[in-house]
Amino acid sequence: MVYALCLVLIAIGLYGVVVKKNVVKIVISMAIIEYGINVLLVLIGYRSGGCAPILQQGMTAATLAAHAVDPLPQALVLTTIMINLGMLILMVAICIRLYERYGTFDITEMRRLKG
Amino acid sequence: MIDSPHREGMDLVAKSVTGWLKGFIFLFGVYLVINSHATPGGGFAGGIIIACAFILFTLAEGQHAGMKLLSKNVAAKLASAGALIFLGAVIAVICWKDVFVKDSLGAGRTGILYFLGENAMPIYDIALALVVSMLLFTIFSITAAVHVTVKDGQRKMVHRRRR
Amino acid sequence: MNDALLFFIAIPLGAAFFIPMVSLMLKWVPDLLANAVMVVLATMAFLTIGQTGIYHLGGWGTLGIDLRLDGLTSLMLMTINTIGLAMAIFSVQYMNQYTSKLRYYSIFLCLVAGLNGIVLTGDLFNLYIFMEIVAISSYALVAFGCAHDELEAAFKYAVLGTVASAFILIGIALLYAMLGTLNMAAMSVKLAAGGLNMPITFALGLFLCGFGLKAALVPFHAWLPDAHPSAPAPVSAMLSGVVIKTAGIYVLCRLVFNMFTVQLVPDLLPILRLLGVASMIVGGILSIGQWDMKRLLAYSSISQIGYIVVGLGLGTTLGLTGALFHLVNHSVFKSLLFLNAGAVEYATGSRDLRHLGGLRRIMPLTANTSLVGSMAISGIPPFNGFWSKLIIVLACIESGHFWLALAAIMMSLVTLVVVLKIQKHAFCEEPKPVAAHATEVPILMRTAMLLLAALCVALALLVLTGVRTPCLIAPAVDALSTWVGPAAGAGQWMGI
Repeated sequence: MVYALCLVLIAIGLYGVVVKKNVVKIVISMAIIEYGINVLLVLIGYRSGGCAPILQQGMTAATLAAHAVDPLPQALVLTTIMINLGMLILMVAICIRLYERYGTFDITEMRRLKG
Repeated sequence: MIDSPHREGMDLVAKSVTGWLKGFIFLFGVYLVINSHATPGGGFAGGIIIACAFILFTLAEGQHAGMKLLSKNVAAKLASAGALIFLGAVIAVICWKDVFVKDSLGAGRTGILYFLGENAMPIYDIALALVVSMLLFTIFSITAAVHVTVKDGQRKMVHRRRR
Repeated sequence: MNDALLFFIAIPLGAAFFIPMVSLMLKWVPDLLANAVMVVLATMAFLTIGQTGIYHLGGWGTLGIDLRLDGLTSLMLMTINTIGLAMAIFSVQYMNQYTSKLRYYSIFLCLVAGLNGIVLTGDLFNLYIFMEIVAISSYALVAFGCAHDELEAAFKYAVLGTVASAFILIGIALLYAMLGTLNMAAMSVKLAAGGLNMPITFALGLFLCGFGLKAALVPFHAWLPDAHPSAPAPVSAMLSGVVIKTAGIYVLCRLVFNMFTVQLVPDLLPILRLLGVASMIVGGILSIGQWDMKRLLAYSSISQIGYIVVGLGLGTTLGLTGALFHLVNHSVFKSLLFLNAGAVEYATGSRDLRHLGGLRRIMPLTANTSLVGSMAISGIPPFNGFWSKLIIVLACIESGHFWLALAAIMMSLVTLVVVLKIQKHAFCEEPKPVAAHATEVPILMRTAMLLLAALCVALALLVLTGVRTPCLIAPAVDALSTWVGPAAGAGQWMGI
C-alpha cells in the first residue's frame, strides 16, 4: 500500500516534467521523481519492528541480521542521492546558461532545433 | 567609493550576523566529517555544510570578497586534489592490503573500512568532504560570476559586469 | 589479468582528476597525458582477447560487487578504447576553437571510465552508477560550447535521459525486492529457478523503456537528432558510435540473453524485432530530408541501431553474430563520418549542405575517407558494412522472417541515397562562397580519420572464419550463450 504512494509521488514528478513550461519547474519535477524513487528504495528494505542496522554494545552479528532492517537499500539510496546531486547541479547550470542565451525560462520559446 | 563596504554585498546587519555565524557553520561541517565513520554517507553531508559556509560568506559579502577568499581556480584544483586522494586511497588499499586493512566486525572479514588504526578517520571521508565542498563552491562561483559570450565567432568566458 | 580489470576504470578516472591540476604547466601536457592514457587503455583492451576473468571488489567474494571479463566484454572494451583513442587524437586540434580544453579532456576521460565500467561490471546497481556517470558526462559534453542549440539540445537530452534513468532505477528496485540480490549471475540463477511474476515482468518493461531510450530505439529516439549534431565533433562521434551502443544495446544483451534468458521471456524477442524494424524505417526515412550534415548522420544512426536490434531479436546464433559485427562496424564508420563532418565544419564553419560544395579538391583526405565511410555504411563490398548487413539479412531469411530481410535491404538502399546526398552536396559540386577560404584540416585530425578509414577496411577481414573464431566475434557470441556462474570457472549453459 505504501509503495503505491511512492509511485504516486513519482507520477506527480512525471506529470511536472511533461506538462510544465518553465525550465526551473521541470528541474524541480525531476528532483521530485528522484525523491520518490529514493523513498521507494528505502521502503523496500523495511522490516516490521526492525532496528537500525548498527552494531550496538552486547549484540552479535547473528541477532543483528535477524532483527535489523536491510542496510543494502540504504547504501543504494545514499549513492543515488549523490548521483542526483550531480545531475541537479548540471541541470541548474544549463538553466542559467539557457537564461543568458534566450532571455527567458519558457521552453516553448526555445525552438531553434527543428525537423 | 566602489569598494566601500556598503555598496558590495548585503547590508550591514546581514554582514555582521554572517561574520559571526560562518565560523560555527564551518565547525559543524568539520564535526560531521570527523564523526562520519559511524553515520551513513560518510563525509558527504559534512562537505555540503562546509560548502554552505563558504557560499553564505560569498552571498553576504559580495562576489569579490568571495573570490579573494577562494578563487575558482583554487577551488577547482582543491576539488581535483580531493578526488585524486580518494582514488589513490582506494587503489592503495586494494593493491597493498596487508598494510592498510584491519579486521572489522570481528567476524574475520576484511574490508576497506579503516586506515592506519582502530579509530582513525578514514582518509576517504576527508577526501570526499574536500571534493564535495570545493565542487559546490566552484559551481556556485562559476555560475554566479562568469558567463560565456560568443564574440566574432570565438567563444570567450568573461566576468559578469556588476549590475 | 584479474586485478588489471580495475585499472580500466581507475586509470582514466585518475587522469580525469589529474588533468585540471596541470594548467600551470606547458600547453601540450594535458594533450599528451590524455592521449597517453587512451593509448594505454587501447593496448590493455587488445590484451584481453580470448581471456576471461572475475575480479571481486574489496575481497568480499561472491557477496559483493565483481568485475567480469568475457568475450562480449572484451569486444566492447576494444571498441570503446580504440574509438576513444581516435577521438582523443582528433580533439587535440579540433577543441582549440572552444574555451577550456582541459575541462573537455577531464569530462571525456570520465566518459571513457564510465563506459569501461558499464561493460566490465557484473552487478546491476554498479551498472546503474556507471550509466549515470556516462549520462552526466555526455550531457556536459553536449552542452560544452554553450551556444544556443547546444544548450537546448543538452537540456532536452538531460530531461529525457533522467526520466529513462529513473525508470531503470525503479526496475532495479523492483528486481531487488523480488530477488534479494543485485549480482547479475546470482539473479540469473534465481530467475531460472523461480520464474516470472508480475513485478518482474513490470521491471522488464521498465528496463525496455529505459534502455531503449539510452539506445535510441524508435519511440524513444527524440533526443538523438538534437543532441548529436550540437555536440563538438569528437563528442558526437563518441556518443553516436559508442555510448548508445554501450549504455543501450550492450546492457539489453546482458539483460535479455544472460539474466532473463530467452527461454524465460520468449515474448521479448518479437518486441525487439518490432522496435528494431521501426527504428530502421523511421530513421532511414527521416534522414532523407535533412540538410544539416550531422543531423542526417544522427538519423542514420537510429536506422543502423535498428539493424542491430533486429539481429538481436532473431535469437539465433547467426543473428547474434551479425548484430555484434554490425555493432563494431557501425562504431567505426559512423565515427569516421562524424569526424569528417567535424573536419568540414572546422574548415568552412558551416554544416549546412545547401551552402557547401566542391570540397573534394580542397580537402582530398577528408573527401576520400568520407567516401570510404559512405561505402561502408551503405553496404558496398568489400567494406565491412557489407558483410555485417549480409549476415543479418541471411539470419532473417534463415529464421523465416522474410519481411524483415526485405526491410533491411530497402533501408540499405535508403542509406545509400542519404550518404550520396552528403557526397554530392558537400564534396562534388562547384565551390560555394563559404568554401572559398577552406583548407585541409591539421595533421592530427587527418591521422584520426585515416586510422578509422583503415579500420573500416581491416574489419572486413573479421568475417573470415579463421580470423573470426579466435579474435572477436565468436567468443562474444558464445558469451551470450553461456555465463560464468557464481562459482568462478563453472560454466552454466543458459542457451538460446
